[in-house]
Order: sequence, then C-alpha cells, then structure tokens
Amino acid sequence: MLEIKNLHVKIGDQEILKGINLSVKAGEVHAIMGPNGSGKSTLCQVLGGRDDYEVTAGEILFKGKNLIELETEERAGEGLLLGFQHPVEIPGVKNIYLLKEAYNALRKYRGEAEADTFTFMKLLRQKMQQMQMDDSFLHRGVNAGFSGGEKKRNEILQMLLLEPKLMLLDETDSGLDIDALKIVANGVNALRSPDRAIVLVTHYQRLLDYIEPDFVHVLYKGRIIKSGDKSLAKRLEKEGYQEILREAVA
Amino acid sequence: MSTPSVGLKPDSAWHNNFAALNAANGPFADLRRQAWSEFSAKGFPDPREEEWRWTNVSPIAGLDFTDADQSAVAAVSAESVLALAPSLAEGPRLTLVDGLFHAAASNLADLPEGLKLHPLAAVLAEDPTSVSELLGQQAEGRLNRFVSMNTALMRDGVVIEVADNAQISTPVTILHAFGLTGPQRSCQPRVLIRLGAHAELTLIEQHVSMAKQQSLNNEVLEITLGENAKLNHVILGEAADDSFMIIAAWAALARDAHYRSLNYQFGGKLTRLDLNISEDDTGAHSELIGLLMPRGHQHIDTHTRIHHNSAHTTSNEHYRAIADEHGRAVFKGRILVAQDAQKIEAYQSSANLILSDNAEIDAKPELEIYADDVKCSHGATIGQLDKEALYYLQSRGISKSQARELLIFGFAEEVINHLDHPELRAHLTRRVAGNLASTLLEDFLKP
Repeated sequence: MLEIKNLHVKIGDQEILKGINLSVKAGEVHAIMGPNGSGKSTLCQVLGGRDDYEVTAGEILFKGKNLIELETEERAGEGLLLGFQHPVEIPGVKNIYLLKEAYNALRKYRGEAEADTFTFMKLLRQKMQQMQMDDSFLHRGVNAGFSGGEKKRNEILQMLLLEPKLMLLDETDSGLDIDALKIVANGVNALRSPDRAIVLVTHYQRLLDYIEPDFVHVLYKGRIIKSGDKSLAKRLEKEGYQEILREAVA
Repeated sequence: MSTPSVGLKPDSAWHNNFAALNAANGPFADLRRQAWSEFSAKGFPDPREEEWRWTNVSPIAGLDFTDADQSAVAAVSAESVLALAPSLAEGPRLTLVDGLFHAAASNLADLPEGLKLHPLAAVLAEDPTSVSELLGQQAEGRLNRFVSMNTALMRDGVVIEVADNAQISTPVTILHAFGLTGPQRSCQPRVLIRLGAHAELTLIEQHVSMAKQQSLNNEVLEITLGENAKLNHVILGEAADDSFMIIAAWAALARDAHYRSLNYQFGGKLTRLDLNISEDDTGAHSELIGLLMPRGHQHIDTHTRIHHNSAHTTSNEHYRAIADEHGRAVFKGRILVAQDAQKIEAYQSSANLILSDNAEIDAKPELEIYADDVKCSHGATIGQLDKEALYYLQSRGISKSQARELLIFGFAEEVINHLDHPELRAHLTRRVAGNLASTLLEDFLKP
C-alpha cells in the first residue's frame, strides 16, 4: 500500500530525513518510534502534503501512485488520512461543516453520489457514540477550545467516518489521560481491517499497550535504524533509546 | 482644526433641488435654510477632514443628481420594486422609491396596537408639530455635511412611534428602493423613530437599487428610546454596484434603554454609515454588530461613535470586514466616556479578513475617556486566511477553494448569527455564499 524508498527531505537548508525506507501492506499496523527531533513529524507532514518541505531524493508510492505529485486533498481522496499531532483550531467553522464537507468531498473523489443529510447524520451519530462524543461537538468550531483529549477524539472520529485506506497517526497519544487514551485506542482498533493499513508515530510505548503493532521501527536522525516486531517497543521502554542506538551503531 | 472645503459650485444641480423646496416655505423651513447654508458654503466632505480621510466622496461630488418627482415614483409598479428586494419578514412594510412613499409596494394595513408607521411627507403636511421633538433634535452636519444636505433637501421618509409598554412582536420593514425613476437620482429620506417607555420593536431597513443608474441614497435617522425601551435595528445594504449610499443615524438612550444595531453591508460603489449613540442615563446599553463585505471596486465604510454620557452605561461592539478583489472596507469605532461617567463598560472588537492583494481594510479604534472608573477594551486584527487551517481542511479531502469558502463563511457567520430571525439569517447566508460564488450554500442553510 505504501512504499517509501530512500526518502530525503529538507526544510530550508537542513536535511531532516536522510534516506527512509518503509513498506506498509494492507492489514498491517506499523509503529514508528523515535526521540524528539528524529524526523517523525516531518515524515508525517511530507506524507500529508504540507508544502514547507522539499523532497530532494527518493520516492513515495501510495497504492502505486506517486504521492509527491498529489495535492493534499487528492491524497485524502486516495485514502490517506493524517491524524494531526496538534489538530488545528478553526473557531469559525463548525465541526459538522467539516465532517459533512469532508465526507462528501471523498465520495465525490471516488465518483460516488453525495450522501443525503439523513443518511449522513445517522452514520455520524453512530460514529460519535463510538467515540463517546455528544451532539454539542458538532456545533462547536472545529477543535476550538477543545481539550487535548477532545481534539484527538475528534481526529479519530473523522477517521471512523471517512474510513481511510491508510491511517497515519502523528503522536495521537500525546497529551492524553488514560481514559482518553483508551477511547482513542478503541477507535483505532475498530478501524483495523485486512484492507486498511495503520501507521502510528509515537514517542511513547504506552499507546502500543492498547494498539498492538505488527511492526515497530526506530527512527533516529532521519533514518530508520532498527525494525522489529512489538517486542522492540517493549525493549525500548525498558532500556531506552540509548541502548538501541548503541547497538545500531555497532 | 480648520475645515478645508471649497463650497458648492454655483452651477451645481443641488441648487435647483433646493430652490423649489425653499420657495415652498413649508414646515421646518428655518432648519432647512440653515442646513442649506452649511452644505452650500462648505460643500462635500473632503479627504483632508479627519472623519473622511479614508473615504473620498469625489465620485458623488462629481455627478449631478436630481430628486425624483412624485408622479414618476407613482408610475413605478409595485412588482418592479419588490422584484429588487426579496421580502425578509412578514409584517408591516413602508417602501420609499427614490426617497418618496410608494403606497402600492407598502403594507400598512392591520398595524399592531401601539405602533404608528407613517410616511414623513404626510406627517409634515398634516401635523408637523407632532415630530418637532424628533426632527433636527440630534442630527447635525458638523462632521458630516451629507447630514446638512439631507436636512436641506428632505421631502419624505418614515415616522415610527411605539407607544409606552407596547411590545411589537412582528418586525417592521423599511424598504429603500432607489434609482427606479431614472439615472442619477438622489433621495434624502429622513427616518424618525420614537419608542416610549418599555416599548420594543425590531426594525429592518433594506436598501436596494436599480443597476446602472448611479443613484444616491442619503439617509438620516433620528432615534429616541424611552426608559427601558428596546430597539433592534437591522440595516441590510444590497444596493447595485454603481450606487452611492450615505446613512447617518443618531440614537438617544434613556435610562435602561437598549439599542441593538445589526449592520450588514454588501452593496454599492460607495457606502458610508455613521452611527452615533448617546447613552444618556444609567443602565443604557448598546450593542453594535456589523459585517462589511466589499469586493469588485466597492468601498464600504462604517464610523461608529458611542457616547457614554452617564455613569453605569455599557456598550458592546463587534465588527467584521471581509475585503476581496479591489474592495476596500473602513471601520472606525469611537468610544467616548464623558467626564465623571463612572462604572462604564465598553467593549469593541474589529476583526478583518483580506482576501486579495488588491483589497484594503482600514480599521481604527478610538477611545476617549474622561472618567477613571471604567472598563474599556478594544482589539483590531487584520489578516489573511489561516494557512494552517486551510491545510487541515485540505488534509480531509476538501479542495482548496472549498476550504477557503468554509473559512470565509465561518468568519462571516459569527456576525450573522447575532440575528434572531431565521429568514434574515438565511438571506444573509445566501448573500455571503453568493459573494463567494459558493457551492456549499445548501449545507449551510440546513439547520
């Protein structure tokens, strides 16, 4: 589903990613872990389509298409959705507008008819219940004044509604208390399916207690220095990054 | 400060407009002559005057306007008037066509008890003394000689009186339709409003005009609110792109009176509003909401002046402007707290969105405070669409153009939502969507 080959990325004059290789297949859950400044967020933003980044070498194929050539909204249309580390607050735009426009925009992209309001609302309410969100969320501005937990629940709500092929979650666990973390993890787990891939980018092992990954990668200074199964995350927690780094360098 | 001005040119058509009225020597003739001498001596406002530095009225001064005559107005069909202006509210409606009363396009039947609604010309003809406590009591042309022009040349308008304790539940509409009797028409409507003690009213003023006529609507309102009276005053400007609109309103608030102004401006080549509020006794409160949305080559200006003349008075002001293409918006909000008027609370915000490199917005708050125990705050922001928000919306599959619309719409909606009437809200929503050529309209109109 996602093939990243020798990806080099610069912001301004600084090279942040220095040759990333990653292959993600449908049905898999990958966790990318790494200390601050390792390039985790850059990787997410490059995949998401933010234009402050320059790809200087390598390629990204998503379902066989060259992702770098697609606009941000086309990437979403193809089925790649990014869960933001810091979901943007948009005070004037009601959440319901975002949800409905996004839902119909994706349908339109796939050549499907727009959903009528009744069908849409029924679906949306069902997903909201899953995320333990009430109707008041719909009429507030997008993420405006939301707590950290509410913002992340709102991100996962969008995933549940929009049903991406590839879900890329950037530090979705940061700033969550344990209850919110469980709700978010339940939402993500509900989305696990044989035809969907999930990439979790996280600083902490804690999230992986609730969402079990098939593969764990350690990102350090712009390179994936080690890959393994979920036991790698456990090791990281116990021994810290330093031990893994030493081993990788050796 | 010296007032630079050139006076009115001797060959100006305005002299003709005044001559006939002067010869008629009707009621308020002295007031009229006094105002004419002010206007003719100093002429049009000049950009060198502080209150006009951002609004150059030379496009108006450069044209010859003539007042419409009664027979030409009578010849305009009600259908052609109402085709210009969608009905926004059930209830009484008084229509002025080129500034003169148009009976067929009005609805003055079955007025609720306690409400008087008359054309000003009829009142001046039959019982001029009944408005002597209203007409000319507040309006003055010191800062705005369009006001002197109106006082000198007024012929018709509207008189609204609400009796003590009368709470009028259906809104009253004044429809100003201008430019219907020919090109370069001018009209000088005068609107006089008095609410008795504990009276309540919602007034919707709707301004529309015929395109390609270059007409001028120069309106003056004088509003008096009795104790604990409440007036909701909606002003909705949708004149054609080549029309000129000048409006100056005064409102005097007695003890515990509430004045709520909701000002939405979309139209005209040049629009200038002056809102002057005097809070004269304890408990008086004003709320001023506005949305200015120029595009094309439109220029839309609102100046507000809130005078806190008494202790324990409050005001809350919330203006937004969205300028696109070559549009220009001007907002100047002045709050004046009189000497020893303590325990004042006055809040003002002005948020502005510039959508094009060629658009311009000038926003200026002005606080003038002569008391020490007051709470006043103001904030003005001018910016472009938030890039992060655009990216976030796009990352959900929403196209850049739709994301832009959502953000602009959200910005406008915050001021539209102050309207209590669903039909009016829907109309404004359509209007904003129309300005954006929006495809999202259907979604927004649903509850």
